Amino acid sequence: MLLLTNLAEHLAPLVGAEFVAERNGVFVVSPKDTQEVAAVMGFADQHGLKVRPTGGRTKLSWGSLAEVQIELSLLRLNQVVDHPWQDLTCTVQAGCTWETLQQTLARHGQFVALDPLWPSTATVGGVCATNDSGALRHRYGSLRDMVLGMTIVLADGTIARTGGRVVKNVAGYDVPKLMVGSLGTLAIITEVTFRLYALPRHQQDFLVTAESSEKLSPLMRAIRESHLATQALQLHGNVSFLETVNGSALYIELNAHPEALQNEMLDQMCLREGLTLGFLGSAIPFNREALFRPDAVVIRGTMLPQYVAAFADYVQREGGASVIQSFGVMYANFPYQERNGVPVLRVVKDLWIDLQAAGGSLTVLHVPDALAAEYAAWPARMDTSSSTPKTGEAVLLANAIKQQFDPNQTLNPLANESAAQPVR
Amino acid sequence: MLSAELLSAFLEIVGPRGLITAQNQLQTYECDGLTAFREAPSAVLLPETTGQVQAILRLCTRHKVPFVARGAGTGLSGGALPTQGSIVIGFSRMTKILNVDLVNHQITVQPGVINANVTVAVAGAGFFYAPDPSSQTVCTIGGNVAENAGGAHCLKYGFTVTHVLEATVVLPSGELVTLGSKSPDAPGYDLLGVFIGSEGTLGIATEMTLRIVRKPEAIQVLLAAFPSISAAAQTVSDIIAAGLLPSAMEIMDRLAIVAAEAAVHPQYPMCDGLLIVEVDGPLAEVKLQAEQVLELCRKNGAIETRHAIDEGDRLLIWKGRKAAFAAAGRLSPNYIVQDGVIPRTTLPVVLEKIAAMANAEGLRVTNVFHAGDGNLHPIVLYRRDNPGEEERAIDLSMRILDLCVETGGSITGEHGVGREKQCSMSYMYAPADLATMQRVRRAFDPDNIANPEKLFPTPRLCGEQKRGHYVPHPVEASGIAEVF
Ligand SMILES: Cc1cc2nc3c(=O)[nH]c(=O)nc-3n(C[C@H](O)[C@H](O)[C@H](O)COP(=O)(O)OP(=O)(O)OC[C@H]3O[C@@H](n4cnc5c(N)ncnc54)[C@H](O)[C@@H]3O)c2cc1C
Ligand SMILES: Cc1cc2nc3c(=O)[nH]c(=O)nc-3n(C[C@H](O)[C@H](O)[C@H](O)COP(=O)(O)OP(=O)(O)OC[C@H]3O[C@@H](n4cnc5c(N)ncnc54)[C@H](O)[C@@H]3O)c2cc1C
Repeated sequence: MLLLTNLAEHLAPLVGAEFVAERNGVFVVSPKDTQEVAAVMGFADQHGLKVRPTGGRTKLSWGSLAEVQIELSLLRLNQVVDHPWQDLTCTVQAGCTWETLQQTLARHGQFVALDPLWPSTATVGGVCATNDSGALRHRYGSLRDMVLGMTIVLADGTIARTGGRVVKNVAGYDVPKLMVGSLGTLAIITEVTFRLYALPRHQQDFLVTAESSEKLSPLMRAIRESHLATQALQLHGNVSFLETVNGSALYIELNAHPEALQNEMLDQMCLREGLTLGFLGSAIPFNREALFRPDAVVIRGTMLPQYVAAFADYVQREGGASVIQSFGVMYANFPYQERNGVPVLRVVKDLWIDLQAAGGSLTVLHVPDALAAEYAAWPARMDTSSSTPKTGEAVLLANAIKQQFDPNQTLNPLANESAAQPVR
Repeated sequence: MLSAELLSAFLEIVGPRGLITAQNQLQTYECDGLTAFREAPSAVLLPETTGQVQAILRLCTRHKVPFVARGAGTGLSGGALPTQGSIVIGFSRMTKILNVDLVNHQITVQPGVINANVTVAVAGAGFFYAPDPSSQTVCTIGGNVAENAGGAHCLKYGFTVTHVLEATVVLPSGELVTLGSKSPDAPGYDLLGVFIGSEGTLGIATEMTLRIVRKPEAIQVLLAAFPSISAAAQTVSDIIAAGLLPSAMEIMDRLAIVAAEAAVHPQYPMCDGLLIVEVDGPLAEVKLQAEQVLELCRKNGAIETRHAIDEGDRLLIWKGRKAAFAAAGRLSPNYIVQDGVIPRTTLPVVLEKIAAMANAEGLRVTNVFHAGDGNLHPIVLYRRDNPGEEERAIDLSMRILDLCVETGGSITGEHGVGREKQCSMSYMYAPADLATMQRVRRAFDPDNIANPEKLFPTPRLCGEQKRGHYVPHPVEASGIAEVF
């Protein structure tokens, strides 16, 4: 058995002594390339050491953190490897921040059509591992539709190139799909190839407000059913940072040439619903990030599109605020306070039950320190990795996948263990 | 080959109308669109419910009997080809549309539902099902999911995987799992994402919820004739660079135009590179985009441009493009169709290389391709009567595939690996890459009974690998569908 005290001596030859550091008893290793990542993994797996891959560390606070001996930082793998812009693809290393990637692609007027949280610190690997997505998904889809290929390092140090670098490819299993959203439990992502889009040339943003989301619901429905070139359709329930509004707002982004006169169509639609179309500048003046207040429980919920407005009002009634994509992904916060004697975690639990009943799901992303103990005592946790498929068999299948990829439970151990916990 | 005991157990599950054992009837199931490979199954079972599929697979697992799922059998890579001693599970009795949910833009279907019928079910309400393989009037959703089928319009709309929200899957063990969900982002691993395109090797899908899309307000098709195929290819790059996203972009070379003209008279301008572009969306947008596309065509030296004057003209233009493969028979008695993908920017170089390789062999190759996404369908023309020519043609088509891989592309963009290309898999992927895929397979199918001997290279099969010349699928020969 290896002595943890001299771990640094063993790791140093793999990545260079200056790239091994100790932080609160955890060895932080920063390999420079895929080969070095593989060397560290091979070593760790062989000696029964647990490893957590990290990018910008923007979300390490959520989820149940297991003890690991090694934190493998991808931050030195930060290059945009290739941008054959006429092919509308790019290949980038996992530790590159989202913002750096987008800035590089913008030189040729292109982008990965995804707007994740905290782009300036979140890394490509972290965004893929958490399957983040924002408002752009309305038009362009999620990571699942954008990742063409990946280089991954398995727990035992095997390097695998999966998928391809071309937009069309049906040769073999689409392993990258399995990596997206797997929270670093199956393999370490070291390189990703994305399908790109041209940056929209003509963008128009609008805002329609009302006292409740239900009032905005018919308009939202009408836009979904229309021929408008909608790029984003986002409902904001009880969002206090919209200072002029006390209630709800529907944010609409059109991606259309001004000559196509789509704003006039939109104006008509608003009139028909008795609402007024407001204009906005080019940037979204508010976003999901604002929901992440230290004093609030922050959750992510999913639902069928038809329930979006109802759940926005639900959250509002319970004193929370929400940002919900019209296709059914909600971010919401509930400030830590007692409301009519109902503790905030109870509210969240009820919401969870109601979302599940409506065919959706709920994930707790952030719990204030004051509630941490109470939350930890819950029989079934609703944290990030409570990747709870519907049936027992799907849980077994997920475990079988984990077993195949990481039989020694080397990678992000606890995160996946709770994945196997049945939710009652 | 199956014991009498097992057969009667099968009979009990599916009833007499659901079990085929007569030799002459089994022949119908001995191959798919890749007719060069044939193997009669031990029995064919036609279940009617998910429960029956579960019961069948439980028996298969217990008795280690391999099974091969089969939709319409239009696959072009031997995916539905029976394996020795296997049973075939067909879905001709599971063809119900189970639920139409217009509010949430989704529809739930059984695996045997024909692709085009999904659109038929929702067209009245102004929707369509976007993935449109050109076999869409015959192929099934189950087969589409297994092959991750794409069509002319996947440039803009994406492949099957973009449009499947949830699938009920019977694992080889007989256990039932729901993969994905009707609302976005099912918690947990994206097992649905990896199931789609797995060519029947991970289990059987018995129920699928699909996304349906609003029909575009307007569609326009443009034609541009170029003096060279590289000028046409350059135009495609320029259209992309200008930030336009047409719903389809296709290129045909001179030989292909000749063939199409002889077959269906689409009245294409005669030239060395014909570009077909379709744009769709809001009416005003379509007009603007069409103008921009035409402008770029002229800039790249188009000799002639025109747009479809009406719906009939638009359909005729597409008919010519879709007839290109079948029409190859007018150019040569025998031919082989390939399906490779290259990065779009390498189009001119690769086409030149293909031409040089063909010249060196003294063979003709005609090119028809999905230019927007770099999916080539080179057609190698030859005469089997000439001694040795077939071998040389097969060899040439394989070297073209290798060329695709060498330029950073793929061995298949839409036809799948199946039995046909399993040996090329090791050209595209290293052993470690393939071993990683096998980990997925073992999690789903530990006994290796779900469509075994497909997709992955095996020493035995790759040793005796032999490819035949192209034989039109019956649905193609009878004019129901075209290879595209
Ligand atoms: C309180 C809070 C809640 C959040 N909630 C969500 C949310 O619900 N959904 C969401 O999508 N985003 C959420 N985020 C945003 C999250 O930070 C971003 O999605 C971000 O992309 C993570 O990137 P990172 O580089 O900071 O990753 P990190 O925070 O360093 O890591 C995130 C996860 O990904 C794994 N990981 C990182 N790099 C790799 C790699 N190369 N290969 C394999 N695994 C890797 C880590 O092990 C960890 O499990 C949240 C952030 C915070 C602070
Ligand atoms: C004329 C012609 C044109 C074509 N054009 C195109 C095209 O443009 N684009 C394209 O992508 N393809 C095209 N194809 C190929 C073929 O039509 C597609 O691959 C189609 O998806 C196959 O569907 P099928 O129902 O015929 O499946 P089959 O051929 O019966 O089976 C295909 C595979 O799916 C598996 N399978 C079937 N049902 C299920 C199920 N329920 N669960 C799990 N696995 C299952 C089978 O085991 C097999 O591996 C064309 C074929 C022909 C003959």
